[in-house]
Amino acid sequence: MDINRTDRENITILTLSGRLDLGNGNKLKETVKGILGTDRTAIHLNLRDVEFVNSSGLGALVSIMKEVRLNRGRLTLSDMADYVREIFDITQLSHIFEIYTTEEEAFNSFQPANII
Amino acid sequence: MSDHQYRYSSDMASEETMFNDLERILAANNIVGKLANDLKLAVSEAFTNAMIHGNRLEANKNVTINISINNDLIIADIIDEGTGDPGRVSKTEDPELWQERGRGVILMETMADRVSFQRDHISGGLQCTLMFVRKRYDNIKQKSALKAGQGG
Repeated sequence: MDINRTDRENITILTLSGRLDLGNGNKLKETVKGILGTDRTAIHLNLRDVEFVNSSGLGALVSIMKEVRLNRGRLTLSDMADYVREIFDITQLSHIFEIYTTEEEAFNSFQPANII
Repeated sequence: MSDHQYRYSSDMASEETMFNDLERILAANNIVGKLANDLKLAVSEAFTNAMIHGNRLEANKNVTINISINNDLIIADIIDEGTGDPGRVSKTEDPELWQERGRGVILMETMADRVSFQRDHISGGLQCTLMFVRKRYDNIKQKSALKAGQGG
């Protein structure tokens, strides 16, 4: 899996491509841990090019979410393929993640006027 | 009809090798779309379980995958060399949302038409059998085509 990082204002955007499974989930956890270590706690994951996710990948995302919250940060997701979204729905994880249709919507949600 | 058998050592690198082999089998048998996605997910869950919970990531223990494909059914057996009890496979009905594990069997049961666990008489390990009925996916294909026709 490739992880492409872009920093936009105080938000770190990671665009993922490939499979989010056991091995790649660990790689993503390490990447996010490194980012949190630099005090950047607003993180967005763009899943546009994620073609596959399994329970190990979902577990990695839950772990990341917990780590971000522990650091008083915020994690958003966007651009899920229909099949990936279906897996989030089956496992009910769509209830605990902030999922946006597009990266732009997610980015806008971080702006002060839009924070509820 | 085609039969395929692969064997993998229980180390993390095997996950990618297995996935690539599986994609090759599916492509060679023209299995695409939702059926391919569901199969990949279910086999991947069973494989990870076999490697981690069955073989405890001991590289000298193997995971064997047998896949049999015909016009009606696709059957995948995923066999480890551990000591797991078929009657004690974790089937968390409703995992707590913040739990990092416990979703594998649920996903397998959602994707496959039948999931069963039994003792493998050759390795002595646990065998997970996943069965997919192809007709179910023909109906999905027909519905999608109908929907596309109505939309266009």
